[in-house]
Amino acid sequence: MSEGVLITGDQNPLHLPAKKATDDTQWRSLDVGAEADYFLLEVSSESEAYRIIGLVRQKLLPAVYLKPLILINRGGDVSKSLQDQVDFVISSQQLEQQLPAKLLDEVESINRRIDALQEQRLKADTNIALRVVRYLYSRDREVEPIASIQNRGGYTFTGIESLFGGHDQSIWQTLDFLNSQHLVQTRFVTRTHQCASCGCAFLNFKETCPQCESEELDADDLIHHFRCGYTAELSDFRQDDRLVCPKCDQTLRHIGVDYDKPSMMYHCRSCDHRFQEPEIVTTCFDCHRTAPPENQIHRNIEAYKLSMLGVNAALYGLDSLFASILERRLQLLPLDVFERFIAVEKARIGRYKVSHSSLLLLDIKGLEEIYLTLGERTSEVYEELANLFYAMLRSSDLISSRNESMFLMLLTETSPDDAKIVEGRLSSGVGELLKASLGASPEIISQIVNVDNALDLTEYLESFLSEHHAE
Amino acid sequence: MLNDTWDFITGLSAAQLISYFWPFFLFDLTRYVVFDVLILTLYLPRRKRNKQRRAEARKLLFHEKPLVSVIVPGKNEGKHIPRLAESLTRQTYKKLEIVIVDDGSDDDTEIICRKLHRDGKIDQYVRNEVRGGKASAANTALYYSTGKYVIHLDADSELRYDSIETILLPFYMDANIAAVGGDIRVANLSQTMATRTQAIEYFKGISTGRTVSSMLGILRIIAGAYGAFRRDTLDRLGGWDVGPGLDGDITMKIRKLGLKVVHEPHAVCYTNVPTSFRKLARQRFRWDRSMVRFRARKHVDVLMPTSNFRLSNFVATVENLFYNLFLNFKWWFYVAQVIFFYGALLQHIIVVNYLLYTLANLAEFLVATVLLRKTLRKQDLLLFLYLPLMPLYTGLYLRVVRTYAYIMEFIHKASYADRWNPWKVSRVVKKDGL
Repeated sequence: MSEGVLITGDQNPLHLPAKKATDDTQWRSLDVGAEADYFLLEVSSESEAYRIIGLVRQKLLPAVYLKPLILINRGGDVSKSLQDQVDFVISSQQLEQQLPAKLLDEVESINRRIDALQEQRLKADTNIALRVVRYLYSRDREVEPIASIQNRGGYTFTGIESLFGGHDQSIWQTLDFLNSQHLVQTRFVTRTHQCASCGCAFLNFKETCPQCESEELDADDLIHHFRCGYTAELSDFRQDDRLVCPKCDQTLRHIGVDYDKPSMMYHCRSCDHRFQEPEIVTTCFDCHRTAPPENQIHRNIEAYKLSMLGVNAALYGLDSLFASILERRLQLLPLDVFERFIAVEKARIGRYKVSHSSLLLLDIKGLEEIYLTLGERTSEVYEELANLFYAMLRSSDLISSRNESMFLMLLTETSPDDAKIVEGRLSSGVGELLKASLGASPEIISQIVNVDNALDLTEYLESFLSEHHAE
Repeated sequence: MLNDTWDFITGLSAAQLISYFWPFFLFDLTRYVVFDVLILTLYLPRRKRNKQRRAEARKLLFHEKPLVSVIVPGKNEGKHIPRLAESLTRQTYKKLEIVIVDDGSDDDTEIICRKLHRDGKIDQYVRNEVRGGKASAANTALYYSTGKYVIHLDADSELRYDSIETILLPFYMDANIAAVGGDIRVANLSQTMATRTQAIEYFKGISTGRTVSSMLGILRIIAGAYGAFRRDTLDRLGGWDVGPGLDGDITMKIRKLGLKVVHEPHAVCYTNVPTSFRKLARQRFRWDRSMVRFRARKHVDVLMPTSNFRLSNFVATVENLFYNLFLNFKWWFYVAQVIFFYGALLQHIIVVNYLLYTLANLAEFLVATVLLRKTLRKQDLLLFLYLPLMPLYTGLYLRVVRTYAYIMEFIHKASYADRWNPWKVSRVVKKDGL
């Protein structure tokens, strides 16, 4: 028997039996309902619905943000955009009875996919790209661009919009990144022009005079009267409501039979220039920048679907992706292998009590967002980062990573004091490299721990994470 | 055999000479040699006497400096335009406005011309997406041009450096002159035998022939390839009517307005002519049919004693009909006469005719050389080597083509089916009998 959690943004929630009710305030503070099968949304307005959907989809635990959302429709139409953001819409009457079996089947199918994440489903996801990948995986569907005047880009992906905090540019950047990493497959839908300076798709296309750039133009058809060969602009033929040839005084009857329109001529009211090819310029409705269309961005608008690589990333994380570069260069160890080495080192030091080894932890805050700024250049930066690590570490040192921004290094035969020197060089090296690439120094947290019997790596990491990655 | 022919010639009495060779003595020798020489002996001294008037006209022209529109209508002519535009920059008369009208080209013409326009090499480029035929393209150019004088030029022609100045002078010598024809020479004369024979024909027919007609006031054609018109006259006429043969047509319409049309032999325009006899036949087929269509049908009213009757127009048309149409059929009569009555003397008659016509061509060539003197080039003069071919060219080849064209036009009105005009246009003008 499925059980859902009812979320209400309403002062007067429906009181439904057998459902845990929780209000907005509780919801905000707790990752409640991780074990529920779905969330039921009962709200009084669409804006309320969007707000709550945003709250759910921006939670950190996959088990929560991926949860099927069922909107209770209390009457009236539900907008297409809202329908796209929830998984199902049911009427309140339907809710009085059993939820339809078909709906529950689909809920179950989403949940099966969330369950496939295994323990990952209860570990915080801070990487927006990974969240999108996991969302696409759990829904097993294509996310389609929807034309929208609400979005500067002219299109939005309502299906995944709620995963983002309302920054519509970051949707594009994330999808571009996923595409560059081959995590998604694309299907061409259409093409847009976007402002090269602000990305806005709302451009005013205007014909202008090639001589004086004025927009005040008249256009007139050229008329060719077959019978006498006379050719002039339409206005010369106009007599009351008829077209009469000024040369032979015959009334023009049918286009294609006794006359045709071989071309069109523009006339600039400002400088009197006549021309056939006006210059086209575009002006952005938002930033008012004017440029010829060829200097604006021409963008393919595509639908996105997870690739096999994407499915893999959804199940095992994106870490592998970034880490693969480090892995190749530094022989980055998987975390469990690294843990084994730590255990061995602990045992060795404990037994001989003659030397010291240190564990150096380097957490580069916001490194996972680097692709939002750098896009395809991300891999180059990772390459440089790997070179930096390679230069600093000795061949007897071991390195592993917890995720794409947190690195663990076992510096063998190194006292914590000596480790501090390495730490200082690494931090400043990484800081400088990223500053040069991103234009701003990221926050770098580093810690040094003496490797001894008291060290429990798992516990240490959890406490570090909860201390530094708490919301 | 030559001895026999020599005996035949020396044994001829005057009466025999006439009865065996009457077309040559009665018509061709008198009209094209004797008459031309007579007229030119009057013309050349007069032109010399007019030197002062020409100098004054030139002063007037350069004082007024009117804008002159050079209009070039055509389809798929883009490849010729850069050279044409370049050659126009070298003209002694500079105040020109170059208007190119593209009559639905389906090659690179648009790309070429848009670039020339952007670069300021041509002043206007009007592209008609749909082909409308030569008349509509010329009228489009007329509509968008603004010059006081309008020069209609073929895209594949090239003007001598002083040609525009020269073609404009008659307008400043006689206020009644509304159109001036340029002297068309063959640009590609050394290319093939067909172009050489045409080059000689042009010297005779256009340079000498039109100068003489012009002198007599019976000039009936201002060539489409190169002709200058007063804008006010063209506006009065509403531009060109549908062709083929629209150049002869508009000349006749100008004459009907009571205005003068003249030929200017020193306003030189080099144009490319068909390079094979096959292509040439197609071109002449079109020209010859238009003679029937326009002289014998559309403008046959000039022969009628109406209020608009003018002797010069009457003579111009009669001369044209007589020498081209009537004498063409007379020639077949002569062929039949020789075969049936003088069959035994056939080979002698052919040889003598050949000699007579070759001599006549030589005389005509000399006349043209005297007339055109300073504007002739060395390769033009070398053409005399090919004069012996001319009796075959004009006497046989052109006659056959012409006869076929006349018959087809009289019986089938074949000119209306000419692909030179789009069918939509031909259909309407045929229905309305225009």
